[in-house]
Amino acid sequence: MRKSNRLGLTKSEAHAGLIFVAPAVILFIFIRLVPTIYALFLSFTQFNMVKDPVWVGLGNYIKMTGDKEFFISLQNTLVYTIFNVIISAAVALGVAVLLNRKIRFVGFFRAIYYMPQIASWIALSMIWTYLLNPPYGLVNYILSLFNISKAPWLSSPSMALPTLIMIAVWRNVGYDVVIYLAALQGIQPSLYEAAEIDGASKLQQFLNITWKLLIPTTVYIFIMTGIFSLQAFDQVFQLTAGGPADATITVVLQIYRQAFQFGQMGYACALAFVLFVVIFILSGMSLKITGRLGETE
Amino acid sequence: MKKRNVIVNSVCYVILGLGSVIILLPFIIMVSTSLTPAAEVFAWPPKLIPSKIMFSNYPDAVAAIDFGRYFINSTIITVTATGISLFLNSSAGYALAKLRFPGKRLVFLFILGTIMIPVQVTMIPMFIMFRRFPLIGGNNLFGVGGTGLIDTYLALILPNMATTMGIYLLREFFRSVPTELIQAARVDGASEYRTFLQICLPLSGPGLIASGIFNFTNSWNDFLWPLIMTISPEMKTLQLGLSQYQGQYFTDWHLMMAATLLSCLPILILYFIFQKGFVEGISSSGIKG
Amino acid sequence: MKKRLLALCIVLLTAGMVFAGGSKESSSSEDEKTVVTLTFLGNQVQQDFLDKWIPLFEENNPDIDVQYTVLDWGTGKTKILSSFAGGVGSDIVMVYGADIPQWIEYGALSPIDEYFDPEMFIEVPFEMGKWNGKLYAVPLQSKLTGYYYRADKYEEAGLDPDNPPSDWQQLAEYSQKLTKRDENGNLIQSGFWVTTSHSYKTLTQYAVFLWSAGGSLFSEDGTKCTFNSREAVTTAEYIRDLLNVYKVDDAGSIQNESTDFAQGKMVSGVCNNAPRGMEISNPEEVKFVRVVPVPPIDANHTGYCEIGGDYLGISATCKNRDAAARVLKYLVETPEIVIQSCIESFGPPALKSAVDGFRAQSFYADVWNDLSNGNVKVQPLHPRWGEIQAIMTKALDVIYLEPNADVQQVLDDATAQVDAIIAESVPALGE
Repeated sequence: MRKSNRLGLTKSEAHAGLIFVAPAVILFIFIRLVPTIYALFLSFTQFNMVKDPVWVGLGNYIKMTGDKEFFISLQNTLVYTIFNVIISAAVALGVAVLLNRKIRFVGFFRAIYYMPQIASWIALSMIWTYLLNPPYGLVNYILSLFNISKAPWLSSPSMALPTLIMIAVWRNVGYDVVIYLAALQGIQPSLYEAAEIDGASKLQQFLNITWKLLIPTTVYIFIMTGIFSLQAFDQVFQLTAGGPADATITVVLQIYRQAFQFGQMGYACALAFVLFVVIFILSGMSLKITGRLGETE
Repeated sequence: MKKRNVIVNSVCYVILGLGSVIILLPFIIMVSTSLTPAAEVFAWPPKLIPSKIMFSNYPDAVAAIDFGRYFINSTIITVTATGISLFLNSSAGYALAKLRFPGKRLVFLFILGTIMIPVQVTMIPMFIMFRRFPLIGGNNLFGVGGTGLIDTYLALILPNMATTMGIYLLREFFRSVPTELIQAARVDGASEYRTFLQICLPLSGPGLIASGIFNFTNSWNDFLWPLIMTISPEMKTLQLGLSQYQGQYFTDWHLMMAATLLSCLPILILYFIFQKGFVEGISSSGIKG
Repeated sequence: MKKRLLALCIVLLTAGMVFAGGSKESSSSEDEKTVVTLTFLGNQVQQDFLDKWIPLFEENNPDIDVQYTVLDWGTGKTKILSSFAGGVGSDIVMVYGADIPQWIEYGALSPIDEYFDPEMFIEVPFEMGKWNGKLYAVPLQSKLTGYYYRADKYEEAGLDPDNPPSDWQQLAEYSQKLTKRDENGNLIQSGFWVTTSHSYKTLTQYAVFLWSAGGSLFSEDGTKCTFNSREAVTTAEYIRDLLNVYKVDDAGSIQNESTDFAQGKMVSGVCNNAPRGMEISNPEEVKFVRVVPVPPIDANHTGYCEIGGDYLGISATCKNRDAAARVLKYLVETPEIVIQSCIESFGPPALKSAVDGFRAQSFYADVWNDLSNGNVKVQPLHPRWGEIQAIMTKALDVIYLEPNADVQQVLDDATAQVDAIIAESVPALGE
């Protein structure tokens, strides 16, 4: 019998635990924590990566408050995220409910819906650019068959962001479907049977049983896809590069531009840090609201 | 009653089928365009089935850029990163799920928190840090003199050697392993390491598969980090290579689609082989969370 | 056990990668050859170009080993910046004319006056490589932006190809006649290409029109941005009307101007490379292509062309400047090399001794040389041109794509932003 302390925790268990997490933690400190702190430092400088950084104190942050482009990018990012997250989840829930109806080929459909997650954003962006080509693309061809006039899609300032959202939803639905379906399959059929006996309609059953039980799953999906949407880069870079007329410029794209096209690394770091804070606050708020992901052991 | 069910189910099939078509359309177009002759790429009305099936587009696409080299680069980086991550993620996930140790809550929050840090925050400092990495790439002990980790495979492997998603997935998975199993092993006198390696790890198949495929996908599809970290053309990854089909004056769409298809193949194959385990692995994370 | 072995293998593999993969130590240190590194921007065409000419140089200069790379235009500029930031910038770098001051900041260019004789080059392109009185880059070739049009399409529409528009009003009318749409209003043939949402082409097109209206982007001394002058407003409104009122084009419909020009989907435009696709796909129609300066706004003004091009320079981090200079002079001062580059990049030579040879090989030689000696201007140079260009392009996009926008307001905003940038740094040299 090994010696254990008051909590029943043996020395070797504690050691093993620390050693097991050590590599990952050390790696994360090296590639996440330290660079973030360094980025904070750089955000107080003006720096073009070649010459030495020049200290400017709060200069970059003050510049940000007057930077219209920044606010537009923030707005675009939030709009993109909110619509992407909600529409993907809603559509996915619908699909998952349908799939849950004891029909055949569930695995087949699920595999198909998940396919967009496999390809890279670069690959998908190339394909979508081709499809949405205003004069010759297939999408406009299909519209023309219904006598709808060709749409400018990514070339129009008013349509570009909705188009991006549409493409993002197309890609995200699959992931949400897999999770919702699993969650639905975990709900005991007896719950529905009991409700049926009590005379509840299908709609009431859905609202009171299904929806209620799926709330944790929904929150998880919202947070995960939300965090990734706030950082969306590859597809925006490839599809529109922020245009037309800054209609699709997102915060991360602005960061990239400032850093690598304008040589303003310090300002880019300041923007990046603000984005981090935004993500942090939003995630924190969501978690607090639901009290999930807390340590329960 | 039964008739109503049949009708409702048929409607379900129709809706799902329509959705599937929408989901698959871009992929179908990708295949179709990859087999189209160059002149027909922007034909109007668009032809789904090209007049001449140009299988030659594929060898042409491979010849047009240094495809083989980029493919090898991506493979080396992704396989290495994924392999290491399986190990690091599972041990960390296991520890967070089943072991007790001081600072556990802090470690968990820290690991989870890093997912909120956008790549853009860390990429510039990491670039500078990697350049100054001592004793590699011509650098001396103080990290001066050479180029450090820039333009190396290691630089592209490092960020994917352990991932938050992977650790989280595996933690969830290990939580479902009955604690009695572990207690029993302890009573038998097995060390924590043996318990993990010989008892728990073999049970974590789906978790490993899910985590592995996620990591593989992320590493294979990564664009921004390789863009910044590679300088010489022969170090490019496949995703960077894809943008080479876009010329200054025109894009070789038929070749690009062929190349894009080829670039999706490895993940597609992995996905179809491991589909069941993969879905199992993801599902367990969403429900319990 | 198996998993442990697997892990071990992977660790060893990684270790192997660290030392083997990606290291570019050149093994030529024992050879006593001086190594000069060279970076071009382009694609396979440029790769073949260098594959052909560099070995010849090395034969004649056995003490120099040239290591060259070609980066694609899309990500190449980012790569070059990262490479200089990472301390691995190459000795000779290619740069597009207007980016010269920005790249001086990155250390990608350094003064090279002592190596070159201005007399060997045509004045205007040569001057573009200068900044603050010093020479930083020399032209490999020039590129001319003018009004390109297809004579065959002109005739089809009942217009006389020998009499291109003499002012903006005629340009609008002719372009309308050249535009064809089907019964649903979809564009079949664009009469005039209006560039929108492009990183640099939008502004280039606008700038040439602005010059032809007697305006300019900056004041003479370069300290003030004049993007909101009366002429600037008129120009912006004119191009906006071409798109929205005369409907000679639909935004975003022309994705690749050179292929579309070759196929007749686009009939005319202000650009520098329209016929390039035609030379490859249907060279028998090249004889129909004409190029003239952009028409002036009215008879009281002059029409202009813009001249730019690909330039080469020696970086500040180059350790063997004399050797690098020899490579550089070889590339830009050998007529055959310059001529090939001009033909492939579609532009006239800046090297005087290449002019005759070029004339013999290029269909456009005479036209371009005449134009180059006439009314040409260069884009303004400024170290933060990237940002300025982005601000102006965005303003133009707003005006072109949102017909109800208040043009004066948009241009005022943009001008204020540009002025703020200029105030923070070295003033622009103007045109």
